[in-house]
Amino acid sequence: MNETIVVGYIPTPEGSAALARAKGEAAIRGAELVVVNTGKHGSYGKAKVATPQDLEAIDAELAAAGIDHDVIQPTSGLAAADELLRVAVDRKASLLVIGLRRRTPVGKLILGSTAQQVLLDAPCAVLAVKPAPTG
Amino acid sequence: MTTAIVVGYIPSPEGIAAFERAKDEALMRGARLVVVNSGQAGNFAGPHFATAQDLDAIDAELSDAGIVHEVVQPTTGLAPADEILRVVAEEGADLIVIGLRHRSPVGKLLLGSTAQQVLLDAPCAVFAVKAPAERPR
Repeated sequence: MNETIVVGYIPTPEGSAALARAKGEAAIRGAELVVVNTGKHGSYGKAKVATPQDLEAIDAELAAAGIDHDVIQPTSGLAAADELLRVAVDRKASLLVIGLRRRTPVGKLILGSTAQQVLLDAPCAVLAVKPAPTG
Repeated sequence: MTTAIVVGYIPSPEGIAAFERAKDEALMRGARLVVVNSGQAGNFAGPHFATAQDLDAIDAELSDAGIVHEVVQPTTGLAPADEILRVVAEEGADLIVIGLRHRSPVGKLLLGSTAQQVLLDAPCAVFAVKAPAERPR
């Protein structure tokens, strides 16, 4: 039976890192990849809606790589974590991939609310990815 | 390509789940695996400290699976997260595996401090796994 991987994608460095990693994981596992762009980064954050061109580019990239995939942009208004978890349960995901920001030297001491909720409530393993260090 | 995986191990359901996951990942990627059991900041009598038999069993299991590995039980007295990250840096690991507990019935709202610190400070991707859910009685 085919595995399903769900990745939370927003057009930020950490979102791109998560997508790139999820693509690699889908390739090595021969899994289907569901890309979820929820638009809402956290409950109060600014919307990080991917453009149609962005999503089309992702779709093309995954098709070119021969990865079974689905690119969705839910408009339910749920917070990002709730949406990701809903899709993971719905699709019986075996892996959820999320992006984390790098801690800056004077930076945040705790994980963001989306990451925490996904990690705590995921029905499966969660792969937390960071973007490559800059400079 | 993943070459070295570090798993933070304690003899608990989530620690065992992390170990099993790390083993599967090592097999799948042909990577070597370093198992780190660091107790609780120097508390060598605490429940997080694995017994010698436990570590021997882990060692045997990995050998049987043909996985290049090392099982370490540091006694530096560092906090577990610091120890795991120290080993990650030393080994040049490119994947970390840790176990998380299920949210408690009254809705534990926070991740454990070790998990948070590893997730925040890891130089590479981190697999966070949970123990299989308990069946209702």
